[in-house]
Amino acid sequence: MHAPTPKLARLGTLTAIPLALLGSGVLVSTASYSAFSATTSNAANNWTAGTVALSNDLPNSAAFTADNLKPGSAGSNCIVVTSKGSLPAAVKLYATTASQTNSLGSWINLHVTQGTGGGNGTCNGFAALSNSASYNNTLDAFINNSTNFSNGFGDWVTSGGASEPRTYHISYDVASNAPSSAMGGTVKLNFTWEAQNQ
Amino acid sequence: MRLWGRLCGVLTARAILALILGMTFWAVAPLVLGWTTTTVMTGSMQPAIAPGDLVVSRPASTGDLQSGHVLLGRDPDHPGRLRLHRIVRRDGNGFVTKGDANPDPDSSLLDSSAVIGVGCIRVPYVGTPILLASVGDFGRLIPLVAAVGLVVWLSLTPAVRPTQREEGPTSTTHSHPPGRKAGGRVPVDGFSRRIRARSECRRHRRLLETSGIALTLALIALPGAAFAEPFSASVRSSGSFSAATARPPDALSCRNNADGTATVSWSYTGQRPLDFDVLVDGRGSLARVGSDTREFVIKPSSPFSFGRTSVIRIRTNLTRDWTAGTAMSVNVTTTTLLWFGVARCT
Repeated sequence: MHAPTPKLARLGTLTAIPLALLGSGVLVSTASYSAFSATTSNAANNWTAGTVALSNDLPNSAAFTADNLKPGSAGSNCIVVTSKGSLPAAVKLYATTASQTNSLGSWINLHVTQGTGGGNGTCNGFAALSNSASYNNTLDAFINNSTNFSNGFGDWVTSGGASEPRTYHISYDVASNAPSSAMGGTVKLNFTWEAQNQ
Repeated sequence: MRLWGRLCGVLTARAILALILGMTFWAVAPLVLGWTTTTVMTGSMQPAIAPGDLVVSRPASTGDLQSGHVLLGRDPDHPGRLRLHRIVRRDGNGFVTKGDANPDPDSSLLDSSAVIGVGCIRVPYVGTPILLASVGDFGRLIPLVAAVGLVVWLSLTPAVRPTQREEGPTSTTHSHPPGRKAGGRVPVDGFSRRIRARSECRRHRRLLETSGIALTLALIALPGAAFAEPFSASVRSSGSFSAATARPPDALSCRNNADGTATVSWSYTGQRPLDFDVLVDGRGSLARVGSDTREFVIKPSSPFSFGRTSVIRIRTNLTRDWTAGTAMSVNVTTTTLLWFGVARCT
């Protein structure tokens, strides 16, 4: 068998390189087509570059069902939110699908503090974290001004990897000067925690 | 045989390098047109777009954008970062976007003014080194760089050894004399001179190629500055607050007593109030009674004028401000003569 000659090597190179360049075009156009022509979004998939995941101890159920409120009424609940994602993420709390009648939200004060302990419907064992942000405003302000991740409340940044819990102590009180026009009013909202990777 | 293996290896390396450079070209060349190339950092658009891909976005007028387009914009949630997500729908002056792999749409709207472009070219894998470097995954970055370095080195080695003419073919079964095809007519002196000149020339070419590759690699690193795609997850708990409504007493009644007094009584089924007020003629409160009380005795000694009929109503006081009085009423007529008198329901 002959040894390869420089001429053959040149010929091989001159064939292989254009073929590879053509292949790169095909690869890029195929990838582009599959990425940008789909008009429907796909269901969750296996994520290779890490995840962001949140859970709480009251998923999609009621944190508060406070009825028959009148001036001076107050209550609280502690909700443990757990980050299980592998990526470091910032977590914000905000209101979604909120509605109110009789401007009741203007007369309910909302306080949120972050800490550890408690949960499962009780605040026994809750300890507030020092140096963490707390929310103090009316429920009306919360549902109107904290509506998405960018204007949500909280300064929790998870480190990612291990499961990491944080307790949100949420309390409310109805202003003692709430007028009778607020009688029979309602406020409904979802307390939504969202994590986004850093 | 070893020489053929070498040829195959070098040619394969050259093909791989050409493939990488060709793909890089598609990611880098559009920058000249003012398009934007970003490195995908997370899997929030999987499976359509994977981490390590480079995505080229071309500028688009917001009027042309519609749902299904992959939008690149400045992320309102993270100043200085980019969001590369699919449009779900238009909402006012902005767009609701969602990562294909995220369970919910992004909570914050991408405003029209924050739109940079619409994704149109996806170059798979080429951004992987940028991804690995930015997450600090050196365990995979170093082998990858080493592998690319090996490919570059291999593709720059001559496919056939220049000394092969002297060595001749390894096979002896061939009838042709060695080196004939490779220019055996060249005299030995000229041949060695040529070799030297050629290696000089090759050194220059190699320098050129190396700098070209270095330039390209530097260009790949360019889009590393901007990285796209937030990953998000959310969880929620509902809250429902409803205020009480003060409820008036129901079933108001009046009965006459043997001692000349009249008893107004009522029933009440609402929330436990602070107290009840007994109202006379819709003006002031005659008396305030406790929350468990359901009747009130009206005595004739009350300062009523002779034969005066009063309208009695009961008011529930949930708080001092949150009150509700009965619409119905009872009439009580009192007749007082000296210190004697009677109150009678009428």
